[in-house]
Amino acid sequence: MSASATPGKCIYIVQYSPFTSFVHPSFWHTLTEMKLDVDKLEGTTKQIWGKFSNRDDMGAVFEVDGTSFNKEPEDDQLYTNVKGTLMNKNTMEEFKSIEKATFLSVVGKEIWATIQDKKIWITKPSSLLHFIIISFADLKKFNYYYWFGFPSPMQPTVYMKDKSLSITAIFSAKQIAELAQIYKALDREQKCFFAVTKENNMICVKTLSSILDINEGPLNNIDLSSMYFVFNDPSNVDNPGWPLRMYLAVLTDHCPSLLEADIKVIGLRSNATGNIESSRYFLVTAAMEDVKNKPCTVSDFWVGWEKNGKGSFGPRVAKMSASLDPVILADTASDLNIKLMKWRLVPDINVDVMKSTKCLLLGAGTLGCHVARDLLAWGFRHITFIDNGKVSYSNPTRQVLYNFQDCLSGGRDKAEAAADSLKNILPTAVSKGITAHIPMPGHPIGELLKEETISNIKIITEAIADHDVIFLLLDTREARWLPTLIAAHYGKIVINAALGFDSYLVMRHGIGDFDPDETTSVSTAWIAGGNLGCYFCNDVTAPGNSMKDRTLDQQCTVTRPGVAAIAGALAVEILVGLLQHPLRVNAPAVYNVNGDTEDVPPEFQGILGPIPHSIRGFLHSYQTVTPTCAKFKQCIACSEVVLNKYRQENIEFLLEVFNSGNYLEEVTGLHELHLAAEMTDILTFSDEDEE
Amino acid sequence: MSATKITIEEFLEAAKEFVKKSEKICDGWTLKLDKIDLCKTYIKKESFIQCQDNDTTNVYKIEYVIFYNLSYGVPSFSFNIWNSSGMLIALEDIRKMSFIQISQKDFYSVVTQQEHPIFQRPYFIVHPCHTETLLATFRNTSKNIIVTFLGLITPLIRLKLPLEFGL
Repeated sequence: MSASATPGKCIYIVQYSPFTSFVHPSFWHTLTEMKLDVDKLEGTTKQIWGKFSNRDDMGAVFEVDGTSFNKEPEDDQLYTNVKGTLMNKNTMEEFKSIEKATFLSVVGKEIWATIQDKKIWITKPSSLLHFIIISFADLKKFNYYYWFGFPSPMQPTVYMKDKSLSITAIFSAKQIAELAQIYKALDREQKCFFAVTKENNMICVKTLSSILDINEGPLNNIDLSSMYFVFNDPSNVDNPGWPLRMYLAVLTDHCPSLLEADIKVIGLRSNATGNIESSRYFLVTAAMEDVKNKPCTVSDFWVGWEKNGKGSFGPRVAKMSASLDPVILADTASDLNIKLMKWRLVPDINVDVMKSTKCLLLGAGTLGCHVARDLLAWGFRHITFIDNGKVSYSNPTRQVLYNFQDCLSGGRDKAEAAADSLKNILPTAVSKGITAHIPMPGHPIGELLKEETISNIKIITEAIADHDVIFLLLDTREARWLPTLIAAHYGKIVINAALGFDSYLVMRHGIGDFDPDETTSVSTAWIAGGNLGCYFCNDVTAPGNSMKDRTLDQQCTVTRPGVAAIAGALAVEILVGLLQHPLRVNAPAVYNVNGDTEDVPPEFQGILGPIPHSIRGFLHSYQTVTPTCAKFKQCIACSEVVLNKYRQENIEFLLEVFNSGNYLEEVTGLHELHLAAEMTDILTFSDEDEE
Repeated sequence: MSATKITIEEFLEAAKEFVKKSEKICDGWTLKLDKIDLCKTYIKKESFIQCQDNDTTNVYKIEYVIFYNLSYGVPSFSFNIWNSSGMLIALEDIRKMSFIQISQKDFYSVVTQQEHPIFQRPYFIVHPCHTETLLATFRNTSKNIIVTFLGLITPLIRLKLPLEFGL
């Protein structure tokens, strides 16, 4: 309350405690549904309900929720329901272009006309209160711009000689209890505004229709000066709540004799159990004053826009995507699985590293599909496929990202279909498909295909450079050569998985800090991550054409279906183990881990346990072994001599290799080794995957 | 089912009685009975809380929901908090609010955000793993299992539980 400079007496202009809007999330929920299902592109004006309570433990909060859109308001004893208007604009421009001051006056005049019509407010005082919301719903982003208004006439101006008093200063405890009883028993529509008198020290209730003439002024024999005008007061401070403004405006307009006279007002406030001792007593005077040096009527000027969070008059925005956007809900919910692991079992796990690690899957067949799904499950988001095949009718039952539709009309490109499938599973997946053939050693390139091959090499090279992890999930041994080489050149993590009929191999390639002086002897217990071998390190032949001598049945998927699921899962688990290990790619692999990982030194343990170099599994006997092998100095894919040749000659070198696998044996000196050792019986691992 | 678990019937009985008592003392708890799927029945209460953020006092609304956890055979406690625009408050920010009285270290092992089994939206759920053993201790002396259950929650989360419930 501000003191005006009237000499002698201290007089305050009454400052009303304004409403603070409070929106339940379900309000936006229902508004969105109605906008999408009913209103569509129409900007609409709807009648809605809002509510406030006169509870003294919270300020003047004005609430709307999902039930605000119901035809009839919810019946809740603690609340006063208020009729309102929601104007939802169809565009941001329409929302912005509303002339706020004029708009409030137009709305105010309409409200005034309605309540003056047959003086409905006298019989139904609850109709005096009204609120408006103007809004714009940006349903692409789930942002809701909104502005609440509680229209009230600016005039009359109301003064108070003294500060408000507690009700206990004017009523006895017995009288307060009587008032509480009266209030409780009153009809809902009368509760907002009524009057009481003291007769023989008893409190008597007077509804407005029992004291006011429907045309003008009080009824005969009614002495307004003895009345205490009571209103439902949402305020919990010394100032009266906003509804009093409208109450005094209609009272003084209807009974001009009240103007410039003392009016006794009680702001009724209650606690949770219906006790009203915190109510306030206000002794006020109202006067019509000139606005802009001109006399005016009550309905000429209206106020009541709510201030926003910054304390200025302007709209607010509710950014609801986190709780309303289904895409974001799905993303958050899938992340919760990983976070729960952190919260419950593995407090040191790094949740974000999976989100930021980009995975390139070479091969979108049985293995590729399983690996991609497990990556999603672990919270990876960036997944790119390279494959040159199309989805065929035999694929969907084993290759879990495809369905029947993908096979029709000749089949979709696998890489693209797999990428789309991931987005269907999780819309926030950043997936991409690249259709390209991977050139192979011993598969000569004719002049016709030379240009295309060079272009494919470029695509594959760029893709490898652009990702953090390269999964080799291809169906032939020789197709793994080029990506192994390029990934070694760029120092990328490589996880390799290969399948036999009832056996599998999953391994990580050694990258990181290579120490050429480290020698492996029988007594060595482990090999540092940088010194681990690649897929080709343990073979002493260059990859030739492994499809050459295949029988027809070997060129199709001849693996027990579970093998791909197991190997795919292990490939992803090895990667996650590596990413979560404090030493990352340098995490050493231990020889002879026999189930009892407690023997492994703590610095090798990692957050999810020690990480083997490779896992070979045999479904026939349900056994797995975890061999650890060192880098081979004459490896045809990852040795320095091959890498240097690649760095120097690039495409020319590659083309030479494609034309003849033997060239690699010459470069690496394997040729001599062969002659020396005369190894004739070389076991190669069969890794056929699909047709 | 072990003898320490609470059946859905016991939960419903206790919930009805609890809400009846709440109505009598105007504590604001309401019962949402799902007659088709009884396990989707829950009781809830909404109330305002005021929190001091930097220099300003902000008003939030908190919704408490108690539902029946079939796999654990115990009542479960969940809540959500939103601001005046209806925006839900994130777990990190909730952790800093004064109404939660859990040390930072223990917070995530007690309160986690999960998809709510009834509403299918993220809610903060107090983990039910110790509830059964704790409730079992009070099983025979407890007049209303929900009152006893809330007695276990209120030291962690500031929630007024009027004494009348215990009478």
